Amino acid sequence: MFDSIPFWQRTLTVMVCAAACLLPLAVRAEDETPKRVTYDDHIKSLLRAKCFSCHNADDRKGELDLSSYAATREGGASGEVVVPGDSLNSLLFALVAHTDEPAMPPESPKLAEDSIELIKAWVDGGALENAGSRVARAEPVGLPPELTATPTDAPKSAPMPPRLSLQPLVHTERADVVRALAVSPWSPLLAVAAPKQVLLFHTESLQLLGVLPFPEGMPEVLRFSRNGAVLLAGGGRGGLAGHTVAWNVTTGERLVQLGDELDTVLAADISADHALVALGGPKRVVRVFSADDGRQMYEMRKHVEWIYDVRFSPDAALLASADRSGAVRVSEAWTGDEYLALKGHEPGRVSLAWRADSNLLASCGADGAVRFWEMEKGEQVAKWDAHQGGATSLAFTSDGRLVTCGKDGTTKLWSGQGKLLRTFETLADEPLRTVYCEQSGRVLTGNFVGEVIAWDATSGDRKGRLTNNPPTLQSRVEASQQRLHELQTLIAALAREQRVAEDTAAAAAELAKRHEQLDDAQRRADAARTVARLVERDRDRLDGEIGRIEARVRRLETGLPNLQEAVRRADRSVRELGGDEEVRRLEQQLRTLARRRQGQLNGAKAQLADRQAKRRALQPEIAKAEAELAAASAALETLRAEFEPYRQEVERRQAALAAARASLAAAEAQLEEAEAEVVRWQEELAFARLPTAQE
Amino acid sequence: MNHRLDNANLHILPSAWRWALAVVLTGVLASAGDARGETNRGGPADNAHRIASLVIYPGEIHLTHAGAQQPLVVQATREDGVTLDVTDRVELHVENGQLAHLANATLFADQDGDTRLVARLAGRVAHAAVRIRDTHQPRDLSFRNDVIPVLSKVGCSSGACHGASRGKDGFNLSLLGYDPAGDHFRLTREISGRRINLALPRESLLLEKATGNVPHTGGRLLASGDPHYRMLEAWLREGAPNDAETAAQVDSIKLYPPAAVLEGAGSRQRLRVLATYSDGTRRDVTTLTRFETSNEFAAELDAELDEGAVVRAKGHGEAFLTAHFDVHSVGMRVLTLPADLEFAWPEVPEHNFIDTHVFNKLKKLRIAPSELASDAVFLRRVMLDLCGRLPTADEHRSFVADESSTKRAALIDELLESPEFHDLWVMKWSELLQMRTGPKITKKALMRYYNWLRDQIEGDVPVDRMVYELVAASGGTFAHAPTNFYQSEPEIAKTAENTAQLFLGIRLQCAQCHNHVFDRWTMDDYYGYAAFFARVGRKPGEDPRETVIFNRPAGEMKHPVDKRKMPPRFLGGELADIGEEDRRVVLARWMTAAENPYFARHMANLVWAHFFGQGIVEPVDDVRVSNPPVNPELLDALAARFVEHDFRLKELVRDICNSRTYQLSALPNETNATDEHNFARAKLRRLPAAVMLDVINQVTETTSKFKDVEEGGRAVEIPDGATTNYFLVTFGRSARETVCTCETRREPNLSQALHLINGATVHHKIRQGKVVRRMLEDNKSPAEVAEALYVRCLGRAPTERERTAIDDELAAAEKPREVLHDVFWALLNSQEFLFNH
Repeated sequence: MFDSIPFWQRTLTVMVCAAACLLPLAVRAEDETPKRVTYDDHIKSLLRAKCFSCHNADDRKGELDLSSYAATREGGASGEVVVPGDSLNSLLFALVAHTDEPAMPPESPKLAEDSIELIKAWVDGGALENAGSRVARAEPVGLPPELTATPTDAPKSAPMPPRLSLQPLVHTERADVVRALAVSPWSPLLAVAAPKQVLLFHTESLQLLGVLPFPEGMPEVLRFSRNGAVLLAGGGRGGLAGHTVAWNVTTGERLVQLGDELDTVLAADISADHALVALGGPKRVVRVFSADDGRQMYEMRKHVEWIYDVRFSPDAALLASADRSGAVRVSEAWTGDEYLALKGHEPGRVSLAWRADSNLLASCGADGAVRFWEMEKGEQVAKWDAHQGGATSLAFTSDGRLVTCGKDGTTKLWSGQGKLLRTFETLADEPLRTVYCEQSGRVLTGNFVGEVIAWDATSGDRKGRLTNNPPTLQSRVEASQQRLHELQTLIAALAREQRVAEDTAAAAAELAKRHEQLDDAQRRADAARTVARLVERDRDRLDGEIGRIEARVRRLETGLPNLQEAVRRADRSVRELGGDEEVRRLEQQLRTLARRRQGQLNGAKAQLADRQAKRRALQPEIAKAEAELAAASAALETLRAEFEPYRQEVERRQAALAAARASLAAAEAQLEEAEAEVVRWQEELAFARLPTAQE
Repeated sequence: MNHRLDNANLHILPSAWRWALAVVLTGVLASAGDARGETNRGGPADNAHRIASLVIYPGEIHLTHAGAQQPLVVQATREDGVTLDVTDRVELHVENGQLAHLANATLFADQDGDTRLVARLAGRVAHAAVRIRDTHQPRDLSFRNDVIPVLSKVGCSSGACHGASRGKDGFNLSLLGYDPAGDHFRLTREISGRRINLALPRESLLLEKATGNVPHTGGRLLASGDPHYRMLEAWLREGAPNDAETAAQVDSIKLYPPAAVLEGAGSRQRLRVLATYSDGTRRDVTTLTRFETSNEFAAELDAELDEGAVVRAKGHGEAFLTAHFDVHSVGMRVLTLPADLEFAWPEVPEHNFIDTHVFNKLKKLRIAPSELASDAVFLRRVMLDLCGRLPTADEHRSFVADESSTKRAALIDELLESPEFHDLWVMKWSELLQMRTGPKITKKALMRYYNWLRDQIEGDVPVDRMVYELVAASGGTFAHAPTNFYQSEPEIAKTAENTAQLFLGIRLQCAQCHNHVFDRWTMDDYYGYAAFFARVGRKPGEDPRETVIFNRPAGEMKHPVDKRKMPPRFLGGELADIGEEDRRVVLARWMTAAENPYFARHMANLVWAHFFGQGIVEPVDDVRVSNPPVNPELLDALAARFVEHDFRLKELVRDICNSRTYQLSALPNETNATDEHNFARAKLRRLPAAVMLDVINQVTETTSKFKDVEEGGRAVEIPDGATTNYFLVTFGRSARETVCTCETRREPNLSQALHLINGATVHHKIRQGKVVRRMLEDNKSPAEVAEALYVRCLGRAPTERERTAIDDELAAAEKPREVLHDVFWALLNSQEFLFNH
């Protein structure tokens, strides 16, 4: 028969049949519908993304709640939506498959084909709740008993984490904002929120101590319990899901997971006795769970806006909660009954902190003010403006002081009465969270660009900086190896340099010789100077004497004739006056004087001649001394001119040698450290790769 | 699959074969009929269909940065005026292939330089100059110019969503991005870490919600491969930077092509929008532009395609497309004609320039005007429009009998000189000027105001003079009546809005809180204009009832977003040079100047609307880019004429009433039956309330008493908006509480019908006026009385059918008077009486 079919018909038949056969494979190749589809494992997450926003326990559109298996089976206003085994007649399937009205999800594109297939498979397979006979929540969810023994007392030893993997789950090109910070009350331990993980740092060394994975999403709030043994994180995926997770600090293990919100968790706290965990977020409801068995104790629906903070009082009697409208409410922790409503803050983010005695609640808000509320009547007992533009975070120290940070870029420390004690450095980018570490006496603030800065609270000095975006261990290993390599290269280069620099020894010897020459020349010049000076002194002395003698001679020569004249007159007077004894005596005196003066004059003249002769004899000596001095000075200058640059050059070379030696020494000193770093990161990487290290 | 395949059955394909063939053929047809569309297949290649010209848009292509590209639109125009989108059919070629290359009808820059783009089709050539610069310089991402337009286009900042004044669930964006600085803060830092995630950009809530990855009440707006998504992601990867102070602004946008005439339902024209920035760069922003069509029945827009927008013809008519991007709006006209339309323009005379322009438009639309209205119809119509009354029986008879060829023009001239003419225009202006007593306007002031207005109208004072006096008014409200203009509204902003709406036809209201969504007015424009009124002062006069309006020495208008003082700026124009003058005087000068682009047009439009029931721009006080005049040339010509006539009302009215267009019949013909906008026929217009009451009084020979109107006066003479009666309220008389022309209601409703049927007005007035009785006493026969009633009310004699029906009734009745009263009643309730047709 086939022979009678023309070729083209045959080919087309084959092609069409082949296509028909391959088609199902092509469709199915991508995702296998699992053998057994269950609500818990497959359907819940599907419904969460597309259906829970309207069909959840709070909103219940059409009176249908799909957020739990029981509620799904119960159905809604149209009755049951799931008929096990019969998907065509199940409203849940019919509406998402658009075989019935109203089409679901409304005003949105139809669900993907494989999602619809999954729902179909689930219903047809009997609408199972979960795989096997495992009872939901068979594992105890409570905290291990040893942690709940005496949670409000100081622990015997500071709870610190064991050796943990330092491998971050994600390392991103740009750091995330610091969403949450928490510091342990009894240990120098800081928890920092990062994408998909919680990072633990030592507050003194600022070293990374461990990475706690939070693959659920972004952690938005971190709290250490009052004895530091439990770390609580709340967070999730914005707009979709959120819950809280608690870790045992000393073992690093996840203890429990509580809550199932339809948006992320922005606020969470664990009570001092480890009995209660409270959480809240954009869904506006504060939910409190028992940490022992995980059941929900109650819901508090008094808030009308997003919950930004929940805090148990230190004595675990009260629960304070704050929302975006600025309202702060205090309720009884165990029952959720309303206790106080505190009004005063403007709409915006509000943060809360309890004073250690549980009698005072502090809050700060978008108006930049810090307010204190007493817990008898809920009256505001203090208010002061802390930060212009808004105060974003606050924390009490154990002795009642307060640390705050705000939009003005500063972190401030206040006394318990509101007096400003210290303003820490202004950060380049907006500070978001601040904490105070008792053990190290440091204030730590996290900002918008993922940095956490640590200051000493007393002195205000910056002690260090860490980032919430630690590099992966591989990159650390690579970086440290790179550094080691660089150091080694550097050391080799420096060693070569040093060898070169050692050639200065010869130059130094040469320098010494020149120095000697210089000294000699100096000495000669000094001697010549001395001689010249002596000669000059003689000359000057002689000149002085000559001058004086000449002056005396002149005086005498001027005065003597008059005196002789006086003698002649006197003589004549004697003869004329005859017999006057006085006149004769006078005349005698005059004559004697004249004779004496004449003698002096002669003497002086003789002296003068003598001195002048000596002076003349000195002249050639002077000339000789001056010549010698000039020669010696010239020689000295010449030597100096040559010497100075040479000296400088040698100095330079010596300095270089010294520097090269110093660098080499420094580099060699670092070498050991660098080698240690490489080993350290390689060990961390190996540790991180161990199966037990990954929780 | 069970059919045996043998030769005998070959011609009947078995079902499986059919199925396969169907699949194959569908594929072939689908690919043939897609967006690359043939706009005109085949058709008779006669002269009218020959391509007359070819144009490349843009005509000058500037590629101004690395990676710049320009999608092209090539449009051919046929001899008959129809345009074709030939972008995919035309042969395109770059003269210097080194500088740029073509792909998918888009030009891509390769190297700096100048060259030309050439297009060839059917023997026609078109060129576009190509200028390429800075190909090494990439264009930086800008928050204002890249992110904000995406948020507007995709819908995030629309008024129904986060652009609402409170936003949604605490996330608020400025409506369509009028506050980019604030939007940047709200997106990045208002709640740190919530809306954007700089470490893991794809996990930003902004993207997760927009793509529907997490539940979003607003729905799914983007898919993760979309260009808009990728742009947002790129911005987040860069750290979500804000713009520097010097970031470029959008100077203008152009929509290509500038117009289109599409033939045949389904024919398409692609559209592209080009933005020019203040730093000299240019960018095609079609995928970021919001488009609207004014008439979905004529042309619809398809902007779903990733690569642009397309307009598609549907029915026969005209649509105005508006494109909005940033704060700019531009429009284009699209005429849609049916395929294979056979149309011949009738030989009709043009009476004046009005007819020329109207008929030009009708020719383009392939619509013929209706016939000329008969004398009787014309007489009634023009009498109602000019005088607010019906023609008497004598007037009717003599006009119809008149043989003169210029009788209509003569009648118009005569009516223009009658006192009733002024009454109607005084009433119209009273409504616009909100003449009514109120908390701030006492009766005395109102009467002064009203009488002043009367004097202006009766004195034929040019409209510009009158408006100038109103706007620049200062003084006491008793002593200087126009100052009462400032008493109806105490607030600066509202006063500004009122003057703009009233005198320029512009509704600025929207721009008080955000940039106007459908028009070009920004908040800056609004507050710059309102600044003219920031110094209006009021104080009591010597008489305690009088208020003195004066110019205060200080007073400023502050922009609400950044609180800066706004200097006065003319709308759409420059900063005003105030000097020491009163700001309002400066404004009044600008407003009433002959060059003012809005004033003359708006006034002319108001006048036009009185005679045609709708303006050339409709609503008359809603001039905006997205509401253009149906016939811009006509409006321009009317405005120019009005200015030529020195803004005198009577001359413009004379021109209008003498046009053939005004005198057309209301009966449609085949071609113009569906056209409501282009004045191809007269429109049926219900009489305004006051005229209706007056006309009822007129035919029943009764009067009504109105406050402040002398005995026997007419409803159109009522000065006070607060004075009213049941009839007037029911029929929608304006209460004059706002300046909006929409206050006068003409829509019919049940109360009106019931009132006429059962209410006191008609019933009593028929009896009270004793018209029938007097006619019978005058020895008229009942049949003659009936005819007289018809002429009196409808301006015509009864038809045969009507006559027969009446005669039958008369014959059967005992009292002819009662029958005649019933006839009278029926006439007063008829559409023909109540409508101007």
